[in-house]
Amino acid sequence: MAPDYNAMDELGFRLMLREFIQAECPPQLINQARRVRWHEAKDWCRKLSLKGWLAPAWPVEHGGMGLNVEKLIAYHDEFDNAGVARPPDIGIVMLGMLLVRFGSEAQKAHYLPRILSCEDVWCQGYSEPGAGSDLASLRTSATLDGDHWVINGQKIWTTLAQDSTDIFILARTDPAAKKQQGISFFLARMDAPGITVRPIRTLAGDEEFCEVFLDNVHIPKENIVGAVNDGWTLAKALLGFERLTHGSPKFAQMALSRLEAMARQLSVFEEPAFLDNFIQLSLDVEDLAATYARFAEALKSGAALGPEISILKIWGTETYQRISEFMIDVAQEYGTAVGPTLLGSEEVDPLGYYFLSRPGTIYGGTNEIQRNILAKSLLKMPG
Amino acid sequence: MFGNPDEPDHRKQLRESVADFVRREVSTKVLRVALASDGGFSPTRWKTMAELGWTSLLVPEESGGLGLEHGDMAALHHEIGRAALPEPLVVVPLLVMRALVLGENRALEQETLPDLLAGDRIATLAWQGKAGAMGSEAVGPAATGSGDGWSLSGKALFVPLATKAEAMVVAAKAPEGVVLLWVDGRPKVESLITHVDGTPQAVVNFDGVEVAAAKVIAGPEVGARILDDVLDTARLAASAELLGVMEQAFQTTLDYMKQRMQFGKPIASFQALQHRAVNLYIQIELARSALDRGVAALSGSDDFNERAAQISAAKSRCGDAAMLVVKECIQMHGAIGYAEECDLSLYVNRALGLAAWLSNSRAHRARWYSQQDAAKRKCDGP
Repeated sequence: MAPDYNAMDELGFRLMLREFIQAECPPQLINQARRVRWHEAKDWCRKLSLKGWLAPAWPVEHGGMGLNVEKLIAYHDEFDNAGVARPPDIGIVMLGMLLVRFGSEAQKAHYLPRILSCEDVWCQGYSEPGAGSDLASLRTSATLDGDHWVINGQKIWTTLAQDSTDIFILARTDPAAKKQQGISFFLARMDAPGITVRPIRTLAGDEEFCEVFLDNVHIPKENIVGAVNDGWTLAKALLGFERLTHGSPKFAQMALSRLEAMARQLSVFEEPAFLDNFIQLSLDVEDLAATYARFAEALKSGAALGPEISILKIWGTETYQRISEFMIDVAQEYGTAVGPTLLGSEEVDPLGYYFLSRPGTIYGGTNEIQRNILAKSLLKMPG
Repeated sequence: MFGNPDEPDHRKQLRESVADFVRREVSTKVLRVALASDGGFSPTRWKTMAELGWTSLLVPEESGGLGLEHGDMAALHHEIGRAALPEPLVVVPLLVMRALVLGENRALEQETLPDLLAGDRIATLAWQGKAGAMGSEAVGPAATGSGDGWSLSGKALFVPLATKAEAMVVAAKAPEGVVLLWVDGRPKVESLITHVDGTPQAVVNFDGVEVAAAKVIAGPEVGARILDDVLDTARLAASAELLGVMEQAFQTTLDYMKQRMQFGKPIASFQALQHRAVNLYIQIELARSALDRGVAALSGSDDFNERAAQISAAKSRCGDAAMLVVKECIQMHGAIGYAEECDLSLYVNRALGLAAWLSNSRAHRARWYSQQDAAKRKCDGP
């Protein structure tokens, strides 16, 4: 029987995690700005799984930690503060939570234990070549043929699809319905005939995401979550607590500390122009962290997350970008070196940060879309 | 909107009482009359504010005040900023009365505080030796021992309320350290600058002024600490006012954009303006976070450097954010935003004045960094 983590005092809970991370987390997962691959993260994920700590937000009866908001924030804080890289966790944070809420008993019994044991690794089949910010215009189709759904279409920007055993897919089941209303939510094995994966290389040089081609993919009839044509509602309902973690100051903080270390090697702290910008960026990060803490406090006191949480994502990702841009500026010629370079006693990679900070303003709803939402829902601007 | 969650009831009531006062007693027309007057504020409104207890928030109960917390003070000034009220709620209660309360001269405190609390007398603080100065390291006037008292010389710059004050707290640099002295009577004004928000500030000359021992507020052992304390408390109040100023300017501009029609639509429907409006909203929320952190440091920490760092972080963010908000508000209003008759001008001027006063954002960023650096060196050891 798992301990009642919510009954622990917060410091004790934090120390328990902190000690475990320090003792057990492989060093190559610490302070990695890039997305780590499954083969790098799986041993660590299994260790967490054996501890019962892989799924902090899942209910206890499904093998999660069942954490309340306060402890959930503490959990993420401890992993962030230790600089632990985010493993491929779409199955935990997205699909698992969705199945807990909307899955059938059979689906919960089948999929949840396999996610927890790290046997199944999931990826998210949402975006398409013609459906990015306007996701509801997606064209991948699913038609019922006897005992099977037959899926045809193409997904893109599917994070780490090449490492995944399973994919959840949004596909159109009613071409005549208004665009959000004819979409359903499906589960498929990646080894199903008709699925082809082509990794896409990013500017940072990693194969972080993929194209996924779906040609007459047959999946069992029961591999639909929720009702037919209800997929959009399901996908939207997922945007809960995770939106706070998208606003975590950790990337900006990590980049700032790397900027500082590099600047010391280059002896630019004496230059007023450097210092002015460095101080400004430092305060931008401080105020990001203070705002994150304010949201976390509000959540703990029982407030619901409104659209205003988007300001964390906007300010966090754009601050991260400004820091990385300043890094390549400060680095002068070192700023265009590909891969880590030894500068004095520090290994630095300003170009890496420059590239790695780019996608944050694009994924999870571009910052332009976030601004549209804030303008309309919060500032009540029309149109 | 994401605002001030979970405040204690008495603080909500304080905010409500300010809002109520503004509804009853203040209009932009009335404000303009006060701003154009000699002192830049309304003496009758000042008296009413004193009666409402707003001059006495941080004064301990045993000295006749309300003995409230820094968070309450910040809430008051936040609301004052929203209404762009020009009355000297920072200068008299926080720079003058607080120096008396923190000082060592109880007899003098008992003699001077009641009139100040009641709004019957205006006094000011003279200390500043140069533009952009932070505190005790840059005091203008000088003091030399003279019997039991002190002889003053030299000048203080940017002395607020100099045309209205009937007494002054003077910070003067003595060989032993900074002393705080009470000087009765009207300041000797050498020259006067009228600032953009209507506040006159003077260069005051102290040559030949003698101060008796009975008028010493704080001697050289504690004078610097008290001066720096009152200045930082005032900075936090000014930051809170800046937050109120920018919020109100932004709200007014949002309302305007929703009713201003061009090309057959409200201009608020244009995406370019929507995105810029969101940018302002983000800055306002960052300013609120920075202010909260400053309040927490002022009430929760005894470490002067830690407090100074957080207060500088608050003043720099609030100043920069307010400056950005008001300049964008001018642009979003179009030509009418450039007209003095548009009420936005009251907020533009207030933001400019408050952002520069008690050191601007650039100076506070520099102080924040030097405090961080000092803290880091302390941690690292010799």
